[in-house]
Amino acid sequence: MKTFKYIFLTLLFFSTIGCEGLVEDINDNPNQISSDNFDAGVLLLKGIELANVSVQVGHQTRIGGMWSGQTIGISLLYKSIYEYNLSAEETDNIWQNAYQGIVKQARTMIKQTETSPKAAQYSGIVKVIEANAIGTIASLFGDVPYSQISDDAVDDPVFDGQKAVLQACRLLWMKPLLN
Amino acid sequence: MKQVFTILLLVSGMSLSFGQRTISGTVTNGDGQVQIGANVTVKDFPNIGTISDIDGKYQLSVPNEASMLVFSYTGYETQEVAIGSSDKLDVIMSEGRLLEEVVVTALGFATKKDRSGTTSSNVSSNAIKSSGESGILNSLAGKASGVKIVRANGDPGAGVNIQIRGANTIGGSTQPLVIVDGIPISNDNLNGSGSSSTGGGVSQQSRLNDINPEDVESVQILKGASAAALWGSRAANGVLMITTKQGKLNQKMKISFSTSYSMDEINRKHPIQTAFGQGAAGKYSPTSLNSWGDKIADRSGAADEVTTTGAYFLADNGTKIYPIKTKNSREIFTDANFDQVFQTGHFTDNNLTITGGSGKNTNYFSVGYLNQDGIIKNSSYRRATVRFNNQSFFSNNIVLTTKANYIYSDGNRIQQNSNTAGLYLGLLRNPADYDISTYKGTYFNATGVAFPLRQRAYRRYLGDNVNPTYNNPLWTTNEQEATTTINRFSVSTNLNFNPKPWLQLDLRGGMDSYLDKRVYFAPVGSASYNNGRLDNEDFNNSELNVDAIARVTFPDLVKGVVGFNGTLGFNINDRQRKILYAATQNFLVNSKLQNFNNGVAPYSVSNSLNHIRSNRLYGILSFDAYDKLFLNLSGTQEAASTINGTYFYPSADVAYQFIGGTADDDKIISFGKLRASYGQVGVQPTAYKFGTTYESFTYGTYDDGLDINEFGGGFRLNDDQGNPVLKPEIKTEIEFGADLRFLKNKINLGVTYYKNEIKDILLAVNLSPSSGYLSKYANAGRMENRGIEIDLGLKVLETKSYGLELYGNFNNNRNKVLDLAGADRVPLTDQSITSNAIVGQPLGILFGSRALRNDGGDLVLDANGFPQLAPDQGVIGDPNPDWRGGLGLRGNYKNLNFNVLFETYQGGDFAERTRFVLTSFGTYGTVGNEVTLTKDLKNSAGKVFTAGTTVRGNIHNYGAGDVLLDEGWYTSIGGGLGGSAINEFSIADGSWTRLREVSMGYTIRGAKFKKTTGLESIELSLAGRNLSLWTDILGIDPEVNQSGVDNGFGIEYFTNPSTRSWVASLKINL
Repeated sequence: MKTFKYIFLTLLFFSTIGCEGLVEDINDNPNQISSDNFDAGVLLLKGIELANVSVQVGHQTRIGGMWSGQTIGISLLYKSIYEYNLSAEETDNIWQNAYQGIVKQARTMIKQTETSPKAAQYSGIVKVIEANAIGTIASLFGDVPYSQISDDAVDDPVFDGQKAVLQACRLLWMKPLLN
Repeated sequence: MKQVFTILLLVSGMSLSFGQRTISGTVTNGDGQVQIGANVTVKDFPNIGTISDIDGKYQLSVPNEASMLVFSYTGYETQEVAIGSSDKLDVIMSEGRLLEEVVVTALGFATKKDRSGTTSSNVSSNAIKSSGESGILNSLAGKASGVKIVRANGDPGAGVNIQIRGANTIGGSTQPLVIVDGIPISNDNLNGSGSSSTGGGVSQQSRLNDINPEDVESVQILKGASAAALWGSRAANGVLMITTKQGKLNQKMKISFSTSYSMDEINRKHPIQTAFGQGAAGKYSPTSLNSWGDKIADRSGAADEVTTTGAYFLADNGTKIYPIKTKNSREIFTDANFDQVFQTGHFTDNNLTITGGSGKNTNYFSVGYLNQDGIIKNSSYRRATVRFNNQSFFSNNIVLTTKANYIYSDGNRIQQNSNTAGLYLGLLRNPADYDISTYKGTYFNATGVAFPLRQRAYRRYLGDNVNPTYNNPLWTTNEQEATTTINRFSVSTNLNFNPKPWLQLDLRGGMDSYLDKRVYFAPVGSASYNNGRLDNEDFNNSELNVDAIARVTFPDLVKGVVGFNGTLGFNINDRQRKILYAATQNFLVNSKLQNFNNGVAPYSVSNSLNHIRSNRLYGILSFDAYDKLFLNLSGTQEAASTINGTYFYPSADVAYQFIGGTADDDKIISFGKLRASYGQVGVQPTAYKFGTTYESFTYGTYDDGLDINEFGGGFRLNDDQGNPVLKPEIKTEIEFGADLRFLKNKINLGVTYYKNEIKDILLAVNLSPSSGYLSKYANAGRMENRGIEIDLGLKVLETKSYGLELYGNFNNNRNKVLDLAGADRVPLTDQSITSNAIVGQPLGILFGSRALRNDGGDLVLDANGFPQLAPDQGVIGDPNPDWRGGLGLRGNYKNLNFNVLFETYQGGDFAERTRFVLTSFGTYGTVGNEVTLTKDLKNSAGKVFTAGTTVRGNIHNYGAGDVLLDEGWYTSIGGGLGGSAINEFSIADGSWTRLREVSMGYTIRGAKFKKTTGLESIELSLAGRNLSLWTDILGIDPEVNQSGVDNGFGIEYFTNPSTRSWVASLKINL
């Protein structure tokens, strides 16, 4: 019986070493470029600009147009919204596009292009866009998160007062001009 | 030399001629029939033996010293008969005790059910074939407690959702592991890039249905964690153990040919109103979206007044459609439209099997061909299979088993669900006075310019725009295609080496590989794809599995007291899936050519590789004491490429037979066993989630998308954050149960109570977008299930020539989501009503827009007495049933046998979204009424209708008195699309009871029959599936699921309907 036990334990021991070795490196993603080994840098710029287009002239602008009498919602979803039945899900996209599509990408781009000869130009462009987007968000929603956003250490950024956010935005787009 | 040789020859000759005698005789059984294939051996001389032949006769040379012959046959008592002075020895064999039920363990080795401490459900090949289903999965429905088997819809080859006990994961793979002859095979049900599970798409196949049910000997469902723990992180959803047929040793060749024919029809239709025509506000309009037009009966009945000068449509069959000035015709086309698109579906299934065996080989060969046309015209499914199973006994202790199977399958699927190019959406929104025939032709505009190959649908009745808005259903069935072609090959081999009586070594390997090529095509002028559509999607999937297993058996470790079995094994499994996808939605020329030469940029092209490898070391220790107490302990150590580190999955089960298995006593309880078990299994994470990647993207809301690929391409940091410390989800389960048999095994009862908890559930946890990411795949959730399973069998009558047995099963699983790492809700499906995971609720809970209520739960009505839309969405229903069960009766009388099976699900909600949306369109049967008011009533706009007026609508009381529900109500928040209507009102009671299966069979056989025809037997059978359905749901079978094979369920939205069928079969055995 003792021999059995020793054999079993030895096999178990070798298995824990052998086991992992057979499956290492297979989980490296062959389908997408990983941020662990590549800096996209300026390739992020187009996306930031497109996201801002969606924020500034997208769904919310259409809703604003209906409520201010420029357009009429005739059927289905837009008829409901025209009659002031607005469901929370209608504002999900603008929020995501502003924070994830613009601010996160902008801050990542600034970090990744620090050493580029055009660093000042890139950071200037995206800072203006960020200020534009967050300014619009603050104008639409009032108190919104800003001081703690895009920080891996903070899961749930705190909501700052609208005035403070608008002031921060103003500083953000003015600084590049002064440089 | 020569002398020695002669002496040897003489001596050997002497021993041959003198020391031997030849015994012969006939073996019969208690019914007076000959026993073919009975084993005749000599006691104490293990190498001498023979088998009785086709006439029951045997002949054996036995040494003079032999004293006894031993006769044995499966199902009969082994007899030892003394050899007397006569050389003739006839024997009559009598039926033995009920053979102990044999089940297979998780490794595919046979064991006796009475010794097992875990629960499993066994379905035999007879039960599978008697159901008449074309696929194995469907034939298992209702036959095992706690196992939910549901077809996604009635399309031929449609996928099947299997859920054992309750939901075991939120975002991971939901289907059980399928093991065929010891090797895991693919049961994929893939949507791919070409089809959406809820939006524009078709119902996808389940790969397990590729296997020909004719080849299946038995299916065993391992339900609990302790039974499946050996499979580690692939076993959380349970395991389906399938064993295919083998030949028998020393069996003469048996050929059988079977043919089946089935007729299918739709089993529940949406009621459509035929009183009011196309239009709005009571006025006819030929271009209106809705059917809130004029009353058809009030029209003059003359021919329509049309404008023949100017634009018109010339259909391909020569009919001219002119713009309508005044609609006079009272003709209704609802039934005619339906009959142009639906038909009586049918399938033919032909199978040929040849089995046999010599003293050292067994063979099983089968070839089958199934050809099915669905109830929707042009939907089809074909399957051809070839199988060869061989066992070679090279010597007494080496056996090589090889099983090889090739499958070819193809089919054409019809678009469904939330899809303007889908069938039901186009068909059911049609007004009653619109004729869908003449759907294709040329549009001539006012100046005579011709636009050929145009589609004509109810919103574009002249074909005057290349965008028909909703497809004419004839266009969907006749002009569009969604084909799939599968070539699949699986082979498994097992080399068994038995060097010592107590040691068995198995080396087992298998490979299952399939290639699935799909083509989606829609011509120019299709809804959703105005400029045409061509998608090619290729899946290349293969799975390689190798096991090395050593088993030791010491039945008398401590003589008479303790027996021991041990198993040690090592497994390595490698799965790869390669996908290539190319699509264009821009044709150069309006052609039916399915080639990319007719496409123009932008093309959508993507490819991907998914590779997962895992290996396990596992061991089992089994002890049995006094043949009454059985203990099994097992452990699996696993490392997989998608997980960080190695994980250990233990399990233990114990069974105590407090009353042993002798059926002779007259005690009330003839057998009793108590069992308890504990086990841990896991769910693997999806591959490649360790790091944050870059991705391409589209920004927008609804139809205003800005696609980066249309701007020269670019990247963004992925909105899914990477996670390098992924662990598997771990399910821990305990089970208590008893198996009892009463009154000489006439009644058998199995009861199990189980409770499991799943920790570290992998979720795409929603993050606050302001943190910079939208989601992260993390081990974050917790969920539990608990329930009782009961399986009951009652032999009402049992004699040699007739029997009647009542059987049934019951299960009441209770699932609760315990933790979602702070997320309020994780949706499992998309669209206006979602199926979700919400803390404190069972998985699948329905969430959507609801009516405004006060704290007491009462509706808060507006000034006119109507409900209002609540500002935020909430829980609106629970699709999980309170309990489910099956009850059946099977019986046989001489050569006749029959089976009736009822199944019921009680207490689950169902979202009838099609009904809700069609009330807005004015086509549903419930909004075709006219009411004559007996008092003054208000409608939702506050307009008062005086008593005595007849209006179109319904009267309802929400709590503040009767109100009139008319067009205004149904076209705003009382019906229709999106989150701005009260979707809560589409929830209804989805409980159902159905007659799942009725079958009857008759076998013609016997010695006289064989003499006249030369055939062993002919089996005839007739079966009906899903013949009757009792449910409150009006328009569709509540079993269908919009998202198909998915954890999210309970919703249908223009999903293709389900079917009932009749199957007749004939089987000829040579």
